[in-house]
Amino acid sequence: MPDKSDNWDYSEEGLKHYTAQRAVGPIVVDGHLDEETWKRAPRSPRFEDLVDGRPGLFDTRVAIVWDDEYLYVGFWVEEPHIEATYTQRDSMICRENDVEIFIAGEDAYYEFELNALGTIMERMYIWQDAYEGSKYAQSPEFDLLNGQRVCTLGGPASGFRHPRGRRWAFLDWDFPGLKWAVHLDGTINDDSDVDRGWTAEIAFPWKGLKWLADGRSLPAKDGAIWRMDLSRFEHIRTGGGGTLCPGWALNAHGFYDSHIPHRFSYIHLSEKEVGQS
Amino acid sequence: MTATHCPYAQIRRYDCRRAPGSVEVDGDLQKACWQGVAQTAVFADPDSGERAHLASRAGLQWDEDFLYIGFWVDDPDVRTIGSQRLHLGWEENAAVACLAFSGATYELRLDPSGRAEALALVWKDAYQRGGHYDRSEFDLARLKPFVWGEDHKTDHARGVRWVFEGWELPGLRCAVQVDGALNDRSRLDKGWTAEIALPWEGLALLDDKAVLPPRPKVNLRLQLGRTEVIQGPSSSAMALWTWGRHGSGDLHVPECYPLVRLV
Repeated sequence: MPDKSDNWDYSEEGLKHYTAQRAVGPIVVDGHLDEETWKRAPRSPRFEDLVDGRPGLFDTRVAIVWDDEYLYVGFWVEEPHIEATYTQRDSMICRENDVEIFIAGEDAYYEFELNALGTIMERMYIWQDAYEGSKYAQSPEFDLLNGQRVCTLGGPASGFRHPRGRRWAFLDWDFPGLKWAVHLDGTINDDSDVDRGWTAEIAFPWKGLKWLADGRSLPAKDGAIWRMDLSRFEHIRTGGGGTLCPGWALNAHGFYDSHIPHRFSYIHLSEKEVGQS
Repeated sequence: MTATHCPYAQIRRYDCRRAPGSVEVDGDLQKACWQGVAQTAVFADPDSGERAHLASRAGLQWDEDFLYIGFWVDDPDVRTIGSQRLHLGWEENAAVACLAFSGATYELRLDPSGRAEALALVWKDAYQRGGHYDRSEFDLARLKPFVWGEDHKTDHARGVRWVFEGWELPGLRCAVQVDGALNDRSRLDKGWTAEIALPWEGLALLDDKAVLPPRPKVNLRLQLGRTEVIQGPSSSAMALWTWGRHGSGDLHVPECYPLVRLV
């Protein structure tokens, strides 16, 4: 079994800390970040380049709040040309512009991708070095042989190499009870005008985080820490058919690779209501 | 998906005869037991059939315990690269043998220093709970194979495969002999030979349709090839030359492998 204290030589430098406070009333997950809670919740600094930490070209910010049932994430995404075509769930959303959320446990992490059409892709990743004999291996949800789509990430054929090894990727896994919505401030797939951008609102039921809690209480208790990566990716045309796709995240990873839990940001859960200091 | 162009009528065939006596696996193919063995055609580009600038051939024989493969590899500069695994194989000068059963393929590479590396590739559709491959030799949790391809896409229409790196075929024997000097660029070499004995008993682990034990008229799907790292003025590239044609550069198309009949 892996040593839980091993940080695999990833530095703590530049990791952001964000304190998620309690919501002050119900949140309707409709993509409009218009509840009093979102007005009062601290907004993150502008996202920075995933690799070099310089300010992202377009403004992107996040806020995180919670109540007894859900952990809520809101994104404000500046985007002069809103674009998305994937409409089928679990498409490779990241091949277009998206926002992404990763949530880490000790031996597994969850990935969520969302585009401006409201289409999502989700996966659960379990480190191969921890799988054998684990709670995951013993659960039908993460059975390697029940016909569900499983692939590996970080194999010799791919990027995403990590010193810890490969992850089993469960492509069909769905976060139970997940809610999400987007709201566009502009016109999608229409280059004739300049858009302002879009907002995204996502609600993760605490009970769905059981595979990642590793003894942490659900819902969270005051002072709990969760490691999360919050980012967006933008395909920028460079002329002649070329594109570049920078990633902008709450904090840089130092690599063009989201799949590094030790570079995820620290999210501190506070019992204080938003607006309360 | 890569279309393969290997019409059945054009699949190479080979009658594999019984060894005349015991075969001592030492890499020397000049010994008596290899004298009467038919050699394959010279290996060529698996996609185009274009000739290789360095010749390589193989021969086969069998007995109750082993399938024997001999490789004759011409090379004026016998050398190893020593590189790490690159995708499914090394970037290395090596002899390659791929023996395909219905549900799995065994792939062995042997370089002129005698270093061997093997893979077992098991089709996901053949790996059922309680089925032939649900055994400790293919324990997914313990052996941590990778899935080819990533994102559940594959170059092959049949689907994805579990790839077990460093898979050990129990009872495998192999040896090489260099006719020249290994890793010595100051002199010209003739080449090298490789001698491989694949044990039937171990191969049964891969044989989900009970094609084995060996007996006359058993047909095996076996591709033989050779990789060669070619140094250019500013970069290098690895060529693959094979006995059978695939109509593509992809080695992992068992339906195109030559048919070897035990006689």
